[in-house]
Amino acid sequence: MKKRLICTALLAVMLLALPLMRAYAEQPPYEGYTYDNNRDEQPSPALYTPLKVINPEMESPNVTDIFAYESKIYALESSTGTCLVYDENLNQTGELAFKDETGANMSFVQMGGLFICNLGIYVSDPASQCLYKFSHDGVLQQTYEKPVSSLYDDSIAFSASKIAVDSGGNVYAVVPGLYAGAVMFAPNGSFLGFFGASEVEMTLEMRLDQTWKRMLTEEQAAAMTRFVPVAYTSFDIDSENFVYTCSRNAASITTRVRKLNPAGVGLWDELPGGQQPFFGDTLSDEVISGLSFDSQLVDIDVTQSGFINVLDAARGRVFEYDANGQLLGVFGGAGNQNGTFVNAAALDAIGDRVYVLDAGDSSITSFEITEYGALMHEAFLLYNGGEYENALPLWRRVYAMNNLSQPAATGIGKALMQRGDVSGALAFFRTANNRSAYSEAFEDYRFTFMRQNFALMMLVLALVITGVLLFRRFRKNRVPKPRVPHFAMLKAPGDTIQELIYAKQLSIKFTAAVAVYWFVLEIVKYFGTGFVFNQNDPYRFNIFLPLVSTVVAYVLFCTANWGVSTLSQGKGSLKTIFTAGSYVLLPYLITQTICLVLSLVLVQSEGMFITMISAAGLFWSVVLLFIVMTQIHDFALGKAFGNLLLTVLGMAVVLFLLFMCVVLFEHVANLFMIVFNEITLRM
Amino acid sequence: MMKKILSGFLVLALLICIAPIPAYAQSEVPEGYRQVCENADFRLLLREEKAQFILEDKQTGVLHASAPSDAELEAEEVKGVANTRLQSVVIGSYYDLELKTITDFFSASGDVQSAKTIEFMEDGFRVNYTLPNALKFALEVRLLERGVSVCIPKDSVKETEQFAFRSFQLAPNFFVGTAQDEGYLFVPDGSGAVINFANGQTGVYDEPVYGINRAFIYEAYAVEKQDIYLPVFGIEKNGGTVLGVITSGAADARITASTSGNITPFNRAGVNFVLREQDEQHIAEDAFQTVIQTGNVPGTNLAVSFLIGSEEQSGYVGMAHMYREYLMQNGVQAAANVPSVVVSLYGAVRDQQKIFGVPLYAKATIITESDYALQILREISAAAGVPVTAVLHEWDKNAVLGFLPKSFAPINGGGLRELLAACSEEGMPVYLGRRAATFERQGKGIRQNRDAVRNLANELSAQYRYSLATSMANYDAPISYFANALAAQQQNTQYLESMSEFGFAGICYSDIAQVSYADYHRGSEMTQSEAAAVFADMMAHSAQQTNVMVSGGFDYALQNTQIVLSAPTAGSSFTIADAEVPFYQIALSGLRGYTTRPVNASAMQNEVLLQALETGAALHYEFIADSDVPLRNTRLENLYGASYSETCDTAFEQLGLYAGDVAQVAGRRILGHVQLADGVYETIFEGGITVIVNYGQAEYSAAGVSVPAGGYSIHNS
Repeated sequence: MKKRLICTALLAVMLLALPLMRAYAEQPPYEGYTYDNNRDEQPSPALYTPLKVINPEMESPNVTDIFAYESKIYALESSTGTCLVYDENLNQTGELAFKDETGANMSFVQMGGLFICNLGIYVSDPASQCLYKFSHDGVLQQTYEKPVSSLYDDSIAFSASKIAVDSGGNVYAVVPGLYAGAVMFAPNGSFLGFFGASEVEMTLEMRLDQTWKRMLTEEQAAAMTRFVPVAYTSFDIDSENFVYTCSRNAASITTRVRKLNPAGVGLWDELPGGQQPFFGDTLSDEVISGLSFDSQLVDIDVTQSGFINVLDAARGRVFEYDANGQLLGVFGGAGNQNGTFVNAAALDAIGDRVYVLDAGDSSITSFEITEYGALMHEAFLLYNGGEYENALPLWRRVYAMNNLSQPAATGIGKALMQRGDVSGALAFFRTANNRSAYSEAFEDYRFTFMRQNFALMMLVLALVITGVLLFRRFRKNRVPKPRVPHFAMLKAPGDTIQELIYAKQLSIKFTAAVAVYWFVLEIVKYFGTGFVFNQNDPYRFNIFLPLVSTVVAYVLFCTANWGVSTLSQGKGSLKTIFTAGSYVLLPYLITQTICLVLSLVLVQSEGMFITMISAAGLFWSVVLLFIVMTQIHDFALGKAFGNLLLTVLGMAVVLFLLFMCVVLFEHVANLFMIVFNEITLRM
Repeated sequence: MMKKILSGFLVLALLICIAPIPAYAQSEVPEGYRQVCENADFRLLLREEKAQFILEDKQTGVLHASAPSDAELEAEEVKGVANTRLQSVVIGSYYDLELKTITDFFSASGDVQSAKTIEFMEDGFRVNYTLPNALKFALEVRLLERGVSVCIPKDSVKETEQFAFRSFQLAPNFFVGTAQDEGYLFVPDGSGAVINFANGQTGVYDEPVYGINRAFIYEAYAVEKQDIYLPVFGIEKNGGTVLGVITSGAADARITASTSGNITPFNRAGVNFVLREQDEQHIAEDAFQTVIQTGNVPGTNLAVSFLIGSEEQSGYVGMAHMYREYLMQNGVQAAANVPSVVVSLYGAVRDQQKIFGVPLYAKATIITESDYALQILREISAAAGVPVTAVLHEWDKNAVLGFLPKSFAPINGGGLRELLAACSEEGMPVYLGRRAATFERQGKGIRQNRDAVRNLANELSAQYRYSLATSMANYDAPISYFANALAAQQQNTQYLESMSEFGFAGICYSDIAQVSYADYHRGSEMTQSEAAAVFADMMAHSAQQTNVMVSGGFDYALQNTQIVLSAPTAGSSFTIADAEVPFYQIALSGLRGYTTRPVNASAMQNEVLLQALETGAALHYEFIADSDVPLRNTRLENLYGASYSETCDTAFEQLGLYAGDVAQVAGRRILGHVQLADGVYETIFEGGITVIVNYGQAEYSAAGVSVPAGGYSIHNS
């Protein structure tokens, strides 16, 4: 009894002595978000919330890297040349000093990267151009030095910033400025070569440079910028020796993160939904106040469950992906609040906790997974394992918390498909914007529909055919009204256009109707094309685009053609060109209408039919264009060809002049605005 | 032997931990001070030489000085301007309007002191200051029953053509703590936050009361932080407690707090009144001019009361109790019928009417039909075991379309009447949600050029939505504006009349109690304080006709509000802060009803449920009927967790587990709040109800009480 009392009292005393810590539950100081399949940002519940922030208890700490190993966080502290050890709650449990073979303390010039595995502790010292392998007690076992090899560019310092070690003990080191890939060492320290070089990312500017280089002398070309692959910034290695890399300066959002097999070959080409994976924020072209807002991915970590966390130093955020590169969510931020960072430098994870090092003040922040995040993890693991049915209740809960979640909608759709609820699945695939899954489900749906309604459909078809036959027969008995043979153009264009010209039956009304139909068709196509083939984002619709690409383009063509043909003695008047030209569009418009209807009933694998019909319509229109040009201007075929080329050139000139006018107008408008601002300021 | 060691350790530890901290550091009155006046508990002393004052607690002898003593300054080796700063009772700054420069001034500096005069009053004294450039102001210091008030009367502020005041800090060094003192600073960041003395963190807390001034145009807005809801700050030093309350001009003030080593060697918390703002007017893309706010400022007196805590009023809980008393003295009475479950129902969303899939024009698309709304309310009431209180948001067609209407036009008139009739019969009060100052489209009595708030460059103050990724303004999304407070008030008066025939239980203002803005529209300028006063009047007028609920719950709205929807439950997590505390809830407990943020909008729903129990808040859910409606890129985009069909099962389960216990504590006064262990908090409610919540990941067991991780215990003694 006394013991109990004493223990209780002791506990009470300990509680009284507790420091005042987080005294109230908190909300994360950032909004969660994710990206949808259109690469548009979407609000989302937070995936992680900050749990604890610690600073090493020393003057001017300089932590350069952190690493999680066996439920402990190791922080490489450069000012003391030691490794601080924390438990998963970020309570410091020890400090590891490094010693050389003689037992003397190691002195590092500058500590860089850290990697720990069952083989030992690996530390890089970029300033002294060495990597060291220590035992788990901190005793030096092996030194890896700058490779002496013709493969290694001697002018590049071996200042390894990040290290990884595979299960065979091979060591991989990221060296800034080295574009050949990660430097690879055998366990005995011998240089093996380079691992997983990135490809050169060719931008339009680089391609122009490349073309220009071909015209220059060798000396001149050598003086120009070299095209080099994007260097890795960091990497991690999973239990199956797949290497995951991230690149700080990759221009393409699809190659910022790569998954390489042990042979160094990249694996991610597309997500299971058929889309290309992308990493970081999708704002590659955005420059605000002269600063690029590109994500700068500086560290990557693969968790034991296979989730990939990538750290963006530009905005202090962590992007979490599943094993296939599908984004789960984004958390963290830049700032001076808990869970935000000044200079995010490294990250690692223990279980569902993520730890981020802020090199700005050497603080380490632990993030705890939220209920939403935990559900996402569980659901993704089951889903990626093919257990759609088991994942369904989890996806349902995720979807309840975030009905904008496209992975959840896909997950539910897949499970419903497995259950045979195809129409339910279709609705969710549509919500998920997942066209390939929708297409597969739609194929099933269509097959079932056909099978169930085949007799009815045949009956309707038979009725339609009979009706058409009867209508024709009935029409034969009537005296036909005289009609303008507009659609005869499709059968005999040459004769028909001549007939229309000479009979003065070219109709402005018909032309206007065609132009309006074209304009409306483009709008309807934007919104109404079958979901499987429709890549348009309805929220980005701008009515000026269809207007410019139809009516304005047509008027521009006619005007330019009239101008050009007048100079080359063509006979067609502006009215003739304007009215006759509309007939050229008929095959295109008819086939586009057919394609629009077909897009509603075909699936992805049958998309080639739409392409073929569309191409045929286009070809037919081009042929008609030549024929119409030869007829209305009385040109030979060659001259008609030249006329059309000049017409295109004329259109370009007009566009250029219009552009100049717009620029000029903008300047004048700015001038007026400045005057207006001055006046209002002085009033 | 072991027992002896343990017992010895126990005694030693008890001595260390329980031995009373020197509760009040008694000091002698420094030389040069003379008594001005006194009351039962305090004496007000003045040092005429520098116009510094001391409030002496007659019972304990504790001195609450307006500046650190000479000995303290000497000990900290503070010299020069820093010394003058710390000795000043007023620190301020002024503009040179010709050169557009800002100059600081200190009341303790020689040139200011030499030109001052002192007048004595029955309960205090008044110091008339004249700056060398002929700027004038007066400082009145009055003894209160349990403290002292410091005020700059607005009429005393005299400016010249060339010089104009920019800011005033009143008694910025009152009750400052040295690095050796034990204690903390309290700041009203969100629900409240605590900054320990000398906590080693760099940076200062400096945030505007009631959030940023929305009259300015923010092209980028990055930081996700909590606003200041209550105009208070506090200092807990060596067992003594002081609460500062801004009693006038709060909306134009900033709360500041800095620990020793940041700005000065002392731990300080205070208030900075900003009288004049400045902005940039862009003449061209790369050229701008600085525009300084003109007009007669301040529009109100600038006043702070420093309230001294009694022995029972220590710590942030004591401060909250002091503020609660202050509210009650100012006429805030306990609200009746405080709900324990509140349901927000969203009726319609602005959508595009489509023909063949082509969007043609804006229309209000109903997302929750009236009969479905009734079903939701009935089911939630059944699950909670009590009739719920409902708020109908986006139920006005014109408001959905972006107008600021002056009359109520329901999206489904007939259905709504039936819904209201049924709810009334079943005892479920229904409030009508209204944005009373925000609009996207002009019309219905509002003209953009005439009524929208403008910035100092006389541009319309566009309120953008911001990209989550870049924090930059999204220029493609609809832009909203705030109406001038007087225009909003005028619209609201007519609106109240038009909604009266429908039989709502009350009105819920969703914007005016959680945003703050001035108006710099030439000819109709209004400071933030003046706008806040108009909104307070508006709510008083509303309260005469119906019940009033507000979202957010800034201080000026509390007088005439019965329920605060989505009251702040957290702070901004600034690294300078050491802890976040439920000051807001403790202060309002038993006076006003308040709810959590929507449970189903949170990524950590269990935490929100525990917060309700910890703070006596009502549970708050938000629902729409269907999940297939197009909310993306709309104002309701954030309702991603509100689909009733998807979330109702979880809500039923949560209500079944928590609603009964929440009903016990909702609306009750909080007597005590303490941290028992990491992530474990105990709240003592009036009536002997004690709640222990455990946000941690390990079970908490002590004194016969066991609380599982993520769970709670409630007992009634």
